[in-house]
Amino acid sequence: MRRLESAAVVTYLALLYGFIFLPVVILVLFSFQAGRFPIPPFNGPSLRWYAEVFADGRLTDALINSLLVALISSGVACLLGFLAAYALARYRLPGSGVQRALITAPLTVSYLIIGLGLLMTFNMVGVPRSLLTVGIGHVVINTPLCFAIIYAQIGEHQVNIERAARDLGASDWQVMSLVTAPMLAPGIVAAYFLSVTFSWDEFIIAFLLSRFDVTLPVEIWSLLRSGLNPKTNAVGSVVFLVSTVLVLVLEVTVFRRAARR
Amino acid sequence: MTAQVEFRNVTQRFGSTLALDDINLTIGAGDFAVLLGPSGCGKTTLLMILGGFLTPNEGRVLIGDSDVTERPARERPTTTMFQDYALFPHMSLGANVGFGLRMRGIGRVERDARARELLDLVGLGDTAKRMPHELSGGQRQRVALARALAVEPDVLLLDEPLGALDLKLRRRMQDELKQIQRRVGTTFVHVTHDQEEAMAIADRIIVMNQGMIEDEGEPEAIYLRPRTVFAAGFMGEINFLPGRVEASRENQLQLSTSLGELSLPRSAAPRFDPRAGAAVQICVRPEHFTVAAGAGWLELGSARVVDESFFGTHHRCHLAPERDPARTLVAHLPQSMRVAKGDAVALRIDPASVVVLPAADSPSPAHDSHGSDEV
Amino acid sequence: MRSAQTLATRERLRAWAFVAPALVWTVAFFVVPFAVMAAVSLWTRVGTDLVRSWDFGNYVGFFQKSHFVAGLPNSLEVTVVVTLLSVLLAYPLAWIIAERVPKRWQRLALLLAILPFWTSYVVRSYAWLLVLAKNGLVNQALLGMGIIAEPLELASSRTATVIGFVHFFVMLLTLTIYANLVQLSPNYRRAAADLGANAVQTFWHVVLPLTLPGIMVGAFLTFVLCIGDYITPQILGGNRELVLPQVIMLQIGRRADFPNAAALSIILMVVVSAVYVLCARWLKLERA
Repeated sequence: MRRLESAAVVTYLALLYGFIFLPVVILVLFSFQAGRFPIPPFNGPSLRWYAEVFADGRLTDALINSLLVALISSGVACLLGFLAAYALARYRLPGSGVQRALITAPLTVSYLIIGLGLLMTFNMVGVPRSLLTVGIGHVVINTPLCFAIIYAQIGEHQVNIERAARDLGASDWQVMSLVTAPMLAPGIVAAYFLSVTFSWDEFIIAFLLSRFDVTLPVEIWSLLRSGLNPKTNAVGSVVFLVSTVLVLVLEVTVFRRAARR
Repeated sequence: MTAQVEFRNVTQRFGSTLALDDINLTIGAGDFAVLLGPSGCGKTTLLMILGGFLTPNEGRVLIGDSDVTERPARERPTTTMFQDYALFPHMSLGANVGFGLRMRGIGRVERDARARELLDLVGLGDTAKRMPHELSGGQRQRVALARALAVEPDVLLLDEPLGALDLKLRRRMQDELKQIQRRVGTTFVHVTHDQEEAMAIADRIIVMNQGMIEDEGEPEAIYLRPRTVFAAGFMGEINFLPGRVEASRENQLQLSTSLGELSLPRSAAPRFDPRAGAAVQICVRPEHFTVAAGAGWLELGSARVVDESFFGTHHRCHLAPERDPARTLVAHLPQSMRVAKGDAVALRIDPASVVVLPAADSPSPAHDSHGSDEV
Repeated sequence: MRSAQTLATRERLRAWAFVAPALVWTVAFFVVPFAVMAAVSLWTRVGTDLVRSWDFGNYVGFFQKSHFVAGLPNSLEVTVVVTLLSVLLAYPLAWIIAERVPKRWQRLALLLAILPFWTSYVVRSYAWLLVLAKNGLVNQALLGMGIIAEPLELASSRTATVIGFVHFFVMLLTLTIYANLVQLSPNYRRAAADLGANAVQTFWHVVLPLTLPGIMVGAFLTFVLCIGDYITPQILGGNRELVLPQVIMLQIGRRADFPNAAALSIILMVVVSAVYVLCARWLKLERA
């Protein structure tokens, strides 16, 4: 009986991991395709498509744009989220339930709708589409996330530790910078990196709210117009590789350290 | 139902740690046995092995006449009361209690009737329809007990069930557990680190330390005649006085200590055979000191009261004996006595209450003059 | 006494100052756009002008235009199928990782299961296009093995859209269901076994009911993300049987018909809110 179960388990794992990795394997494999079409048979390997990617000015510009928007908008979102989470968790303000609901509301709304609303509003007040407007949109979608993550981390024990610091003579600013922020650091860092991940990969808001300077997902979308092309494979593989390395680094540094504590 | 429990040469290792070292133990059918010891002593491991949640590296476990060592938990005639109760939060109390019966294929009507019976037994009569989250800790625990008893196990295992309760509730639950055990007659095996609790409820106590059994027997026997220095120190406050055997005769022991020569009956060392010249520990409970003069009492000189606290039933005092001022003894002096710091009192003991243990088994500094401070 | 009061007031002021930025941003860039969208949905596009007609014309029009109306049931059908399939495929995977994979390897197993998350969303749908294309891997393999004689029309279909979605959501749900399973106290399972339950009974009577709320939350998340997604249907759907987000984007694209787009967006919101209310009520029932 147990052997039957083991066989079933292994089969299921193989099937599902196979399903999960299939598109990624095809993507990466055929990015090294020598021929014109990223479909079997595989002739290669060849780096010509990677060369084309790095030679493509629009693509590299889009990559830098994505990074800028992601890093900056996530920073803003983290700051807004941290301040709001701290205030609402530590002080009893009137209507805090409503405030919490309001700040986390964007989580439940489709990005398409958020983007459209912003597009219509910017049109009406005459604000042109740009990376700035994309950044604004990304702050809207990431602030609730940062808020929720950090809010969950602030607990009762936090209050007492801060009281102890005040008791020992620390000023409010010192308490915040020497006690609170370091204690919440893992949560803040996690929120930041999660926001960067979401912003970096986000398409629809970036598509609606940008014009000439675009982010990487939007540029890749344009590439799709040209049909099946190993160049797209190459771009996708680069994005995948960079993201994976980032995640692994994060896993080893931040999460291992937290686990050891 | 009920059955005898037997452990034969049970050894358990976790990595490089030896959790249980060649345990041999028999618990009689219908006994309320308590596994007592500090954390890490192996008592919970032994319980898990009995319950079938762990298979020992070496040794056999027998329940009744059957060797159950290889059998998983669900096939053993045991049920367990877990420390966090583990009541199924999504089922009503009645469904919880009837769960084991349902697993045996017993029909709904019979299950519900039996569940009601058991909830009655634990004092929660009409609550079958309620949900676990509506109950307090003490009530949840009773439901856990009812659930464990519903399948009429041969052995009921209790894993520190009273730890989360406040003192008054704990005392009440101890009484109730004892009553219920007497009523149903099942063998109970109860794990705790609280020696007061052990003495309150156990028919037999098994004192464990670092994977080994230090002492076992009835509460009175272990308290008054401990077999090892660890057991002596764990069961309550005790004073250890190092000494040497001067002479060992058929019904008398002659010992020399810093407080003078002591002449003790041979029964003071029931578990070992003291040879002349052997180093020993002389164990005296704080309540066995007396200040009144009496026939047969041993005189130990006088002592100065270093400090004193009133404990209601007695004065707990630290005494520095005149003959050995560096030593501190803990004594319980009578409630009616007026005791103040600096007073001089006479030290006397009834020789029959003294226990002599081999000194090779030396206490750690924490045991000296303390006792039940270990957790 | 006064110093204590001023301290309290100062603290309160600071608290408000801290919350203010997030609140202001949310109101300015989330609530206001909503109001704008609601208003625009009541206007009409006539030719190239935006007429502030303040009527429900767009909403009425939604139910009259067949390709609009089809958008909603298409969305719902796809989303329901995707949600069901994803939950059914993800739960066993999460269960296996939580219960059968040795503890030291669980984190790695989980990480592997969600690794493709880090390909760009757009790129991942494109990759499925490659796999399912007429001369792509699947077709060539099936032809090669002699299972089919002619290549199948897999890509550019509703099936492809479902496959693309399921791929994404199986990963998401594996993560959430796994988190749910591991925080279940092991004593529940021990207690069930102790009382005589075998593995199947333990799962059915104890593990499943206790993880159901977590599954519901994950399913709801899947539903919301799936129904509002434009990319996967656009890449893999092949321009037939459009779902609502595609219909919305059509309004913007060529015709710049914002009023209609706004109205359709609000309709989408209403549907999602309705599902949210249903889920919340179900979860409350479970809790009670």
